[in-house]
Amino acid sequence: MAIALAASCVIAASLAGAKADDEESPSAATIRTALRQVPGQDSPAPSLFPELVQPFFERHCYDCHSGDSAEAGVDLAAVTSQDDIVREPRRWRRVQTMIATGGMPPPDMPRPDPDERSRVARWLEETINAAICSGPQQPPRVTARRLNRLQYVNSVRDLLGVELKVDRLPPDDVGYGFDSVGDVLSLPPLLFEKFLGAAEEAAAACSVPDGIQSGAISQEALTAILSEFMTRAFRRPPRPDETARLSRLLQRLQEEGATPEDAYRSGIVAVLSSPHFLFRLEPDPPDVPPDTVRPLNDFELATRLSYFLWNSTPDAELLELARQNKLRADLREQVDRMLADSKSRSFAHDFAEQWLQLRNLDQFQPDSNRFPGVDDSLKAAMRTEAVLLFETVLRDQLPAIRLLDADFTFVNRRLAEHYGLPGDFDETFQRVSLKNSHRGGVMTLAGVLAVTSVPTRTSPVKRGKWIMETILGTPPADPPPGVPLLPDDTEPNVTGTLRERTERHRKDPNCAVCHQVMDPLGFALEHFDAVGRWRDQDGGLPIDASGELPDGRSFRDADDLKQLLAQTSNAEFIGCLTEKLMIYALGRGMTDSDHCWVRQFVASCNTETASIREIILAIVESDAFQKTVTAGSPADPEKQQASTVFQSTTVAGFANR
Amino acid sequence: MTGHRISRRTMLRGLGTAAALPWLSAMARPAAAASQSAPLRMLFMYVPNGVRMQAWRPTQEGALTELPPILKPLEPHREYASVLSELTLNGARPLGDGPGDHARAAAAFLTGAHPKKTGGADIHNGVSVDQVAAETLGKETRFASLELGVDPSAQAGACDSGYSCVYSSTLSWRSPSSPLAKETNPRAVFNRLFGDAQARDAGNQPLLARRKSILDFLADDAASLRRELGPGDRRKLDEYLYAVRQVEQRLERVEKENRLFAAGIEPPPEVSRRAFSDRLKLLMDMIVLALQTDSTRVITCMFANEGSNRSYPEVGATEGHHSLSHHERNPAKLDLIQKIDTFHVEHLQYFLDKLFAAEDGEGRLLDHCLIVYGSGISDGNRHNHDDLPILLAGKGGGHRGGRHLVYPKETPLANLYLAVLNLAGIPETKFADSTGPLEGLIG
Repeated sequence: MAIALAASCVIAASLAGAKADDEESPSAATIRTALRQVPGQDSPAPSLFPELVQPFFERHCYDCHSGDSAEAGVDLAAVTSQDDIVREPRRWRRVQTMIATGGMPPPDMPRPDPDERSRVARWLEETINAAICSGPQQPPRVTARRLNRLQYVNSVRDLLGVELKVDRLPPDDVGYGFDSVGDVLSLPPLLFEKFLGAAEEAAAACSVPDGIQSGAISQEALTAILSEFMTRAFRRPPRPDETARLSRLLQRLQEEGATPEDAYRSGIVAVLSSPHFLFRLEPDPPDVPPDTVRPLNDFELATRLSYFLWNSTPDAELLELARQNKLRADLREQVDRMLADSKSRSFAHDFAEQWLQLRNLDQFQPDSNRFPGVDDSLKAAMRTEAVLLFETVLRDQLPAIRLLDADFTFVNRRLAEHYGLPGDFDETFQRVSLKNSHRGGVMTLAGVLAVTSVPTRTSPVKRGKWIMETILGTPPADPPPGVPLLPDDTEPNVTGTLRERTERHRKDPNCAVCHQVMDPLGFALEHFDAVGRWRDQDGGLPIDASGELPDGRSFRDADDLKQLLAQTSNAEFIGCLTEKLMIYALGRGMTDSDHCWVRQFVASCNTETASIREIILAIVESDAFQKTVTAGSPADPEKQQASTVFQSTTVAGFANR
Repeated sequence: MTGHRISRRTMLRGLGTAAALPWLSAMARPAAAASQSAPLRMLFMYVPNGVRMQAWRPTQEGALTELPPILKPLEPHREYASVLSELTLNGARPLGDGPGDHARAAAAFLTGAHPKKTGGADIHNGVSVDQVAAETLGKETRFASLELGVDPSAQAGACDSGYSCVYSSTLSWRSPSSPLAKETNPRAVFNRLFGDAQARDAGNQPLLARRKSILDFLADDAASLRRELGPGDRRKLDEYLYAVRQVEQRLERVEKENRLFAAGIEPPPEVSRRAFSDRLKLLMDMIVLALQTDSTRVITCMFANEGSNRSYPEVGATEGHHSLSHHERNPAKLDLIQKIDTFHVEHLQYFLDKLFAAEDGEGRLLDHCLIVYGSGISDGNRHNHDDLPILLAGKGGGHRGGRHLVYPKETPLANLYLAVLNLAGIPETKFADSTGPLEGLIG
């Protein structure tokens, strides 16, 4: 691959007509079953339709889905070529999902050959994706996002200089792996009470501007001071009716006998409990028609930026640039300034912990007989190690791919003992070289190895799945229902290594489809036990960490796998990391448009050298980040078309069977 | 018996809290005292991953003469408990959505709905039965309802096969898109109910007036904002406005009931998140307190989030609960499952003991409660949602216990909820997929 300039990583998605696309359904996201190359924009071979897909339909679908009385109004016998699919790709997504997840054909019908099923599903998926990406793209509307607890606490710190404890607020719900997703950030009464209590605590602790304490201040002056506070807290200047409302509140408080200081502190409580502070809102301007793409105004953009990179409210410089409408002109400089600011540690820590799923360490309780001494301080050290690694790769602008094969890490005494690293360490974390070590990169972090284990043993399946969803962005399909877990080795009649016991996965072709990828990836890490320590044996037998992927790539052990992935799967990795960062930044799941954009981005950049900073810059400059769409029922791009395949206007009944 | 008995320390601690109660119940039960008869309380308790049904379901229909092994701890309260067999939660079935039985089981348990499969966008479920009850029963109390549980919501990754974690960790849904997060820390529950701040504030008229002024400002602010927003965002503002109204309502009651907060009850100790048994018992202590003070009449409590893989070293289960629940009929695993199930029921017993011991009006608190206890999964290995393990305890609304009632196969669990709502005097005629109120609960 030619060395691309950093700037070439930045692309702008085209924005032709205004057509909304569907949020990708979660099952569609989980059906990208195998390791695949990052696809280009080209449709897969049309010839496979008559050779592979049509015969499959004929054998497995026509019985019910053909003719005028086709089940659910889906007539697959009416499909004659790939073009029929390209014409209405979104409707076909449902068909593809049913085939890929095994929902169809139904259980009482003959089962298709798993390999054939997965080839059909993949061909359909690629056809659908290519068709959608060649069409017009537009960003979706983002639901008003409540500040999550980290963002709330950081914002209060930056607004008032008061440090509140994060755990005085309950943990936020998670969507798509992150706790910044608007649709799941609800505001039950319980939480509102806590916000109110937190605001009272902050207002009681904050310093009061001169003149207020003495009481020598006019109502107007007090309103002006609080109106300035509103600008910072609402991340935009207050409107006249908002200032008037605040002024009436202050009036009422003083009539009730509050001193100016009491009134000031109550004003702070009111502003911090207002929906304009608690929610990140992007209301439609009155003069823009419904369902129209519009660029965010500078204040909205500053807000997205600062909650992405700082998990906090915009500072004076961002607000000033927004006021002058100069933020876009200065965007790259601002991103660099923000990343250089220590406030960006909040982003690095929060993102890395969630991306790598390390928050699950809290709930992980290894069997204390087999793994004594795994306490909260060790778990905390595991989390710290991970975030320091991510932060260093970010800050030093190393190629992001070094996250997979870094030759350094960070340990304190507790973790160094756990890893068996020689040397003198204390409570503070030190960077150590891992040259000539089996460790290095996110896959061999103790925290990752632990959260992908069960209490009594390692779980190569969980580890393989973790690699597929966290590193490669190709989460495996869910297992069919009723599948038993592996027996525990404390049970009688269980002999051999875990690998020997797991070979069952290969014997059943329905399991093998996914496990032939998942299992070898996971077994590569078998030299690391359930709490992440190195070992040479399992069950008294030497460990075999070698494996081969279905596409023929083979490896000897974890070291070899890391090199292999860094060299031959770097495009998947950069695509996956970009997706995770987008979900985090945008607070919503990925849409079809987003996937199209990620493909273009990955294709345009040098995935061996691209840094996290470059990915962040590209996201920040993308339409998805810079634009939104006004409310209104989006036109269904396929609604007006006459369809020979889908006889009813909706295929919902098909999916809900 | 081994070390899984209630620890002596917890016992004493529990007693310590209870000892403060007679004084409380004499002094401060304003709403209950106001109406002549004691009010009905409705509670819903959830255990994840199903149970070992052979050891749960009584062998004979009719009178509960012999309790099955898992339910043995309830022996002292046999006359208060009915085992209800063959109830079905159809909404938890795949219905074309593929895997995700755990997420669906918890989400559907009190809603009877079929939750929308989504990792986050447009979460959609139904309104839960406790919230329907709270509309009526919650009018006279400071809290319309309380939502409690031992585990916080999962904090990373996906929880179950493409379902947002909110489904596996939330029973109560105020609207199809408004899940009600649980309080998991007993100390925080106490502070919410009777905390120092409330005690201090109760007599502080200027402070209460100031709070009211602020809430009025916020309600105005939100109402004006709401008019400018699109439908999706408006839903968020509706949540906000509801929350503001709840806090306002509470403020008014604080004024009326301020004696309550001078009580000076000892708050519960802080316990580590992993001290499962202590934590659950303390939560139950808080439930008893909330009921005795008539702070609320509707409570939900999750013993653990659905799909929980907590290990239970207290009963010798070092493997995770979810892993064990895929038992493949392995006898050793089934035994451990049964031990976990029994351990959970011992905590229910602990709770019923306290409700039995607590005076309430002219009877015991347990006489005025209806407690639904169970799981949205029957057998963890099969993930089936028919013949669920469901128990109804308490004599509220005239429920007659001591029986094993077997209904026709596929009877909707919603029929139980409809019956329970009716027993509470709420004249609903339909709830979720109900086909009519469950018969035979009274008389």
